[in-house]
Amino acid sequence: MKGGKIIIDVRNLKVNFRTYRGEVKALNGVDLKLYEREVLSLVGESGCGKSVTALTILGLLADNAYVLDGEILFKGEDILKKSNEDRRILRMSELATVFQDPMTYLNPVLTIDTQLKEVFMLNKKLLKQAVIVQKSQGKKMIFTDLLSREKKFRGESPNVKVSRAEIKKMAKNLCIGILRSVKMPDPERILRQYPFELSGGMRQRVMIAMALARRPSVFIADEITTAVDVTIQAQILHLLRELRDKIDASILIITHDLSVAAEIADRIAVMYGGNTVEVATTKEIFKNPIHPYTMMLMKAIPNVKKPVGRLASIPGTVPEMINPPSGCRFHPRCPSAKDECAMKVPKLREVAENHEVACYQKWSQS
Amino acid sequence: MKSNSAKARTGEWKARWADFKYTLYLLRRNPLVLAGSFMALFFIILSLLANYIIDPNLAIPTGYPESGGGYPFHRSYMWSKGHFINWGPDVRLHEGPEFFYLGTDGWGRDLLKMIILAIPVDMENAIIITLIASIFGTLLGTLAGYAGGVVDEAILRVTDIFFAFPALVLALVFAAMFGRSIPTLRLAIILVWWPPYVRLMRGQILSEKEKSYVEALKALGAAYPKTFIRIQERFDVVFDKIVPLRAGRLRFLLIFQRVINGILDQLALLGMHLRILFRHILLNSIYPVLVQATLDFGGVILTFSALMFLGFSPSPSLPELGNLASDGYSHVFDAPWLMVFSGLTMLIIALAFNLVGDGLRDVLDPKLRR
Amino acid sequence: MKLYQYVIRRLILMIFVLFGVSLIVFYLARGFPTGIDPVAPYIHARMTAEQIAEVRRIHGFDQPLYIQYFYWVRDALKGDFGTTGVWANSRLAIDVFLSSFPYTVQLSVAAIILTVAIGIPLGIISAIKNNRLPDHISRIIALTGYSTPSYWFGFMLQLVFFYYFLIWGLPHLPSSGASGMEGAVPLVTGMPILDGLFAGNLEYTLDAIAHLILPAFSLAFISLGFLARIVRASMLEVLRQDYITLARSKGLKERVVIYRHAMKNALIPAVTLTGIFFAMLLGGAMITEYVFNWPGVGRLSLLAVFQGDSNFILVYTLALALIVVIANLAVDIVYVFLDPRIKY
Repeated sequence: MKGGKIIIDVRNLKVNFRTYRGEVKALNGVDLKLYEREVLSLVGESGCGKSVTALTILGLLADNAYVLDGEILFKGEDILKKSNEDRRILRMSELATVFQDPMTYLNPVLTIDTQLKEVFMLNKKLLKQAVIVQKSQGKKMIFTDLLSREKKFRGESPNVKVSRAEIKKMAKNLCIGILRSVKMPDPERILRQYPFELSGGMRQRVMIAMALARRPSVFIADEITTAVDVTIQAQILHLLRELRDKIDASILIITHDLSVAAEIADRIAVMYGGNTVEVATTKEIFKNPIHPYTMMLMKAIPNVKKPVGRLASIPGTVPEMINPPSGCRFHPRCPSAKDECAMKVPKLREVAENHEVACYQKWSQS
Repeated sequence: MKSNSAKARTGEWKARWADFKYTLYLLRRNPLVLAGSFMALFFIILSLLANYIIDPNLAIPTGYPESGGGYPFHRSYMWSKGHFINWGPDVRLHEGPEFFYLGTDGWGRDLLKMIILAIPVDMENAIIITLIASIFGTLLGTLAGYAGGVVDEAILRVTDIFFAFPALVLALVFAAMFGRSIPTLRLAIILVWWPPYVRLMRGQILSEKEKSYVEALKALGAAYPKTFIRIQERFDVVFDKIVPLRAGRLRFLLIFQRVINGILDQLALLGMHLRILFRHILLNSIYPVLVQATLDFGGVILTFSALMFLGFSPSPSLPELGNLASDGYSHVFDAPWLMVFSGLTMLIIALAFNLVGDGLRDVLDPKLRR
Repeated sequence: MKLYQYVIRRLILMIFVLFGVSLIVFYLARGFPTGIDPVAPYIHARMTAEQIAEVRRIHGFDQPLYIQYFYWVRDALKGDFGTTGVWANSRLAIDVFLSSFPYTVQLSVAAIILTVAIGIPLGIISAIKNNRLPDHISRIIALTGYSTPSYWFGFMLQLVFFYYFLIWGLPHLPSSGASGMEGAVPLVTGMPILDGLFAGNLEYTLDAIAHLILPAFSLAFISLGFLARIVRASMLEVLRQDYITLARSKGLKERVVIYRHAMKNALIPAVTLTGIFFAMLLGGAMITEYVFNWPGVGRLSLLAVFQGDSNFILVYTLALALIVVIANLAVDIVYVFLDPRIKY
């Protein structure tokens, strides 16, 4: 939202992958702004670069990938220039991610307990504080106390001795507490189990719990509804909506499903072929899509109420990333394309209140 | 105009060719594999040329007149003559000024030449043994994997019994029983080396069988041999001409027709299975077998020479790397070069093939490819 | 099914395997047309024909093969595996085996410890620094070990560490035997090191260790190459898995990711291999024992094969098959504890 502080500012990000068949130009100058305490949804078809953007922010790209150009500003600092160790610390405390397929993303030979507790144990100082506060105030610490960052638990650690056993116990309590907040039944039993013994929806909640446990400022959800069926999808979205009110973070939801974005996002950013092509509030995007791609996407959604003759689709195919079209990558399929579209990649420009579009043809129309 | 299946086939081969080029590219990037392949190539060429560059007659042990020729039972190495020999191949024979690069063996033969002569012996054995063992094992494994059921169980049990022994032990027992000639030794080692291929191929076949494309092939009837359909049709036509349906007494001939049709059906089914098997499944499963065979090449050479070393060679003067080593066994401290160089050659040969095989395994592993 | 049911099933299967093995070996050792005459180890050159026939009758070698097998099985089930030939002082086959087996056990245990201690880290480093210099170096080491002829390496070690050290006046390691001080210590387990410890005789123990180093290392060098390759391959595969990406995204230190998340998954195939190696080593690494004159079961089996001593060969092969089958079973049981997904 305009006026709020920007927490992640991606500027002109270009990322390539070196492969046997050539260089895959996955990201072609992505611009993205994530504000504090908002829910932003990054939508686009498979292969348009949404996950790559997220991985670049996290610093978890594959070995054959490299950043060609651009910056990613986190709270004002360019994290691309930071060392691997610094980025790891960022992942530990500020950026949390939930991935797509909970079956493959959980370690099959470790218990849930181990995998969840290790997240808490990353910050022993905080645990120590929590134990001290619990002992002095006499009440049981629950996770939500740690959730709100305003509480400012960080501070000097007094010279009180806290044993490792107490820290472990505190971590375990917090695990149980956090599992309760993601609506898991019988958390104590779950902790002892292995990932393959849980259902898909439960595994997804565990992943969400692992992300929440870091009390992040940015919560990235990469296609978390794709691998689950519709009912579980609804549950998870419901859960996320509840959590967004509780936690103090921005949420970046990456999905290819516009309905998911519509359910939960404040703003939507549409990506195509390695670029962001349109960014606006959810209502605006659905009511008044400006970019030709977005317009055709909206038209392609079948309407339940009205009878439809032929389903609308976007002609052509997704661009091949080793030799992508020059200039605006959508121009071969775009009905409004003109010569200038093939020359240079258009950048996002604001054409209405909170509504940015990257299209030469549409700038003049506002 | 090409038929549809022919068109599909060329597309398939184009894909395989591209895949092959990718494999070569990956191999080229790995320096160890390149080194190994050069070494292996060197040895192969050497073994082909060995008998031409060095007179094989040199291998005939003449000994020295003092020992009366033949196999000197009580060998003190000619040049030691009671002296303590220090390291160095540059030792002059008492009888002549010849300089031997690697020293000589107990009969005074030039070790370098003997080693070069020995290389083709080993290589030839390795190739024959690996080829026969791998083909046999692969066929058995294919049968076990594809047929399943009782056949599978039977083959597995037999293989298990062989697996209960380390290769050397069993080969030893076989060799002791079979006698000391090169063919029997080869047989002994073959008998020991085929079980791994059975397991390997069976595993591959089993997992390929489950893959969707096999089901798709069967559903499409794509592999159903057209020839059989035509034969069936022809047969029906001819039969109907000969046996008019109305003739009541000849009604029993209809059973005959059904039986023939049934047999043709089964044959066609068999043909389809064979076709799926050979054209599709085998080609996709052949990679691990190739890798295993290359790796086994080194292992077979080592085993063969180990048997020779232990004394199974048909003739004590046969130029063969293990045999030369056993010659040096009793004098390893006096004249170490015999053992050192023959073993070193063996190591290098085995290393060359193992490098290639290992690199190949890395490259062909489907999970590690891009 | 439950674990013990599975174990029982396997044990029954094992009996079948043992019978199969004994049949094959029996035929080879006693009945094979081109093999050595079973009476050979019991006679010497100066016996007359009647004496030889007498020996043959005593041992039952004149009976048809299946009757011989029947008698053998009957006796074997009682624990009597017959007598060995002159080469082993005509002791009972089972005694000969049992008295030399502890030496092989000691050697195998030492070799396995070395193999695991060097091989696994080698494989892990190879995987982590994939395709970079440490990978190439450890690959060369591993493959060289794997390609070395076992007799050659043993001799090389002896040459350098015994002979040349001796000549150069350096402290050297002994080149043969298991102990230089035979009989200095009462026999408890049959293994020099343990016996020395039990008797509190430090000098004896140290001497035993000194004798152990070279042969154990010789054995280990060859197997560690193989182990390192397997560990590398499975580690590489594990490192590509999604849960490793998640672990990294949690902000865990790379070392924690590898030790806690990757290793457990990657070591499962390594465990299998180690178990199988151990079984094979227990079978007596014949050549190494021969080269180092180690008084273990492998060396004896070599002598037995050359003599054509069917009784000892049978005892040996049966024991070997038993060891391998039990080792396989043990490995499969350990699997259950390592990988929670496995259920029998």
